[in-house]
Amino acid sequence: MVSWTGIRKKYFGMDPVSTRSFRLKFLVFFILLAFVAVGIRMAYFAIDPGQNSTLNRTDNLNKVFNRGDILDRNGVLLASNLPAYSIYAHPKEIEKDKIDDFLDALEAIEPPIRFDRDREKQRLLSDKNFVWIHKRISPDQSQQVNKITIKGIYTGEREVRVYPNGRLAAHVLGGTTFGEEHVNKAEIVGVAGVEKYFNDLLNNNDSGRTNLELSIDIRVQQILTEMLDLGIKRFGAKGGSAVLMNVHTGEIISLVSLPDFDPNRRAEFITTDTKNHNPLFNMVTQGIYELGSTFKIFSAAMALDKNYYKRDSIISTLPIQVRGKEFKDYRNHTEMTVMEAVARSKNTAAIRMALDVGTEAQRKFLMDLGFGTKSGIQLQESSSPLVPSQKQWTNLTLATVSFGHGMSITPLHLASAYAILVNGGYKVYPTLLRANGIEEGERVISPKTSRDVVSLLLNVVENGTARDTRIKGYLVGGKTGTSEKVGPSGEYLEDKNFVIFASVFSGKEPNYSLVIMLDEASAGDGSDYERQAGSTVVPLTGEIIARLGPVLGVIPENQLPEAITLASK
Amino acid sequence: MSWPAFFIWLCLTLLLGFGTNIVNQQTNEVRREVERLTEVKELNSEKLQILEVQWVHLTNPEFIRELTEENFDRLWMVPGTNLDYGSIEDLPYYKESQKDENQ
Repeated sequence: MVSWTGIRKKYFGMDPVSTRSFRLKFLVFFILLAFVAVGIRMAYFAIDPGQNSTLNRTDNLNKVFNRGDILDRNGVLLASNLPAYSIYAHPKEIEKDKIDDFLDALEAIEPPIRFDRDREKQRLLSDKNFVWIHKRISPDQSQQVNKITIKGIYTGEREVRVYPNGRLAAHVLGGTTFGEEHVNKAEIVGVAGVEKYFNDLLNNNDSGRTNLELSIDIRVQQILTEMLDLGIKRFGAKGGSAVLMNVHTGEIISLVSLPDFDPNRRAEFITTDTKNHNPLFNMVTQGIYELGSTFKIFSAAMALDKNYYKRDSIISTLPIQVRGKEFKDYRNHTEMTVMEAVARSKNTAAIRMALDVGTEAQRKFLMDLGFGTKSGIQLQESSSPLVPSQKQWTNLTLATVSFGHGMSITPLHLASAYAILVNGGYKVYPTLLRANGIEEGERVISPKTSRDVVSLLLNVVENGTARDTRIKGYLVGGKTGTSEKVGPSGEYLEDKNFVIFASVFSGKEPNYSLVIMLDEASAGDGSDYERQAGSTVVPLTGEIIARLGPVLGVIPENQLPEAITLASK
Repeated sequence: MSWPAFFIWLCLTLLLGFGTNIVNQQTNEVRREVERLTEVKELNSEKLQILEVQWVHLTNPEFIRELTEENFDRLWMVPGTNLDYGSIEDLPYYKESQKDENQ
């Protein structure tokens, strides 16, 4: 028999005693090796207990809520997640004679779960392996479902998106739906608004949840929504929109489009009705309109900036012919200063100023204001302006565009353009994200022209078509506009219009631009005068600014010196 | 190897085994504690989240407006406007201080 001792003796010449000694040394060597290995490992844990350890479980701490929250500029929660459950069934496992008992029990749950009994019964009677019964029930309802002891019915955990402010800022937030769904997990996917635009960012939880901080102020949003709704009811309008922007940063403080919807139940508002306003339609960013006389300030601004005119230059408002077409104003065919012409909203003065500047310069100026492209707002629901091509931009186009016809933009484009005109003349880009400071863009007009434009706008409210916006303490500037709707065959409808008021406040260095638009508003019996902006949207804007000012921290002009003194003390 | 050396190694080995066993038990205890704390944290995060959403729902501006309308007869609360701004001259102490200065 061959043994290890024999081998050692035969091949290595070792006797049994030295063999035993070798064995012992061999054993001690391995024990020492094990000792050193375990010691190193223990020292390793002592130095850094967290590294590569199974104790490091922070990755699972937030396993229930994965999608980031959406907050307003003051940190108020606008969108968040809540635990919820789904009910699902394996029809093949269900005893068919117990289906009615199950449906009875389901109907008895409080608060009630909405479902179609006949439809669910058919589905449960089928031979399918799997059917969803309800995808969104509360934990309380889930507990009640679990008490129904019927084989083949199950509940699964998931998270759902909630909007605790309901309809407020619905068009900004948009909404979500379920993406990839499993019985114990459901992916939340944005389908509209910032939920869609920032979907990847909100769902990215590689380094913890990412919250989104918006520029919206929910208090301002509520006031604007409430007041716009009031205006719609008061003037019998079909709908309306409002957008408030910080003229220095481009931050959208509030964006309202009415009618609106509840993002918690967005799917229920999807409609095929084309007669009434679609509540999902965002008039501020999706609607493109000829914004009428609000454009006249652009004609004046470029004429002032190119030094063709000064504020007190005399300009004719007599009828004018452009390429064979005569343009004239309603009345006052005379001469007046540029300031008066803007205040009285004279088409002919706007045409004359634009003609002096020329088609190429006018087109470039309007493109510099951002009218050539989408507004750049972080919403998928945004439209491109309808702008004549360079070839189409003749003197006739110049004439109509000078007073706001022949070119369609969104109300958001208008708010941005007014912001540029009054902020010192530099370009701003509308944003729904909270800005950390002012970043001056490229210059569009000179600071002097910007100051002149502010004085023109203040004069429209002081002496022109927007006198009903005057409110105690705040110096508001603005320009009215009325735009006739276009009929199905492209003709203008004389008795149906949009009224617009683009305003800036407060004072000679305004911080905010506000554009309010009403669809088919009338202050009385629907006469031409009562359907004008001056009778409808102008007084409404005054009331709105009176409410918004204190919330925005705008100190009334007549209080300013004392307030500064008080602060400095 | 001499007996004393062997004995020392043996003792060290036993000590190491004993020590490893204690560390293992402690590790398991800590692991169980971490699991328990993780569950508590998840539960509390969930409760906190629900409370935060409830708080926002109960304090949302629309809801507060409805409450002020319902309780208008009792509270006489109206929205603030530009007219609510006062002048420094309206403050009582300011009037008094002006009187003192004049005297």
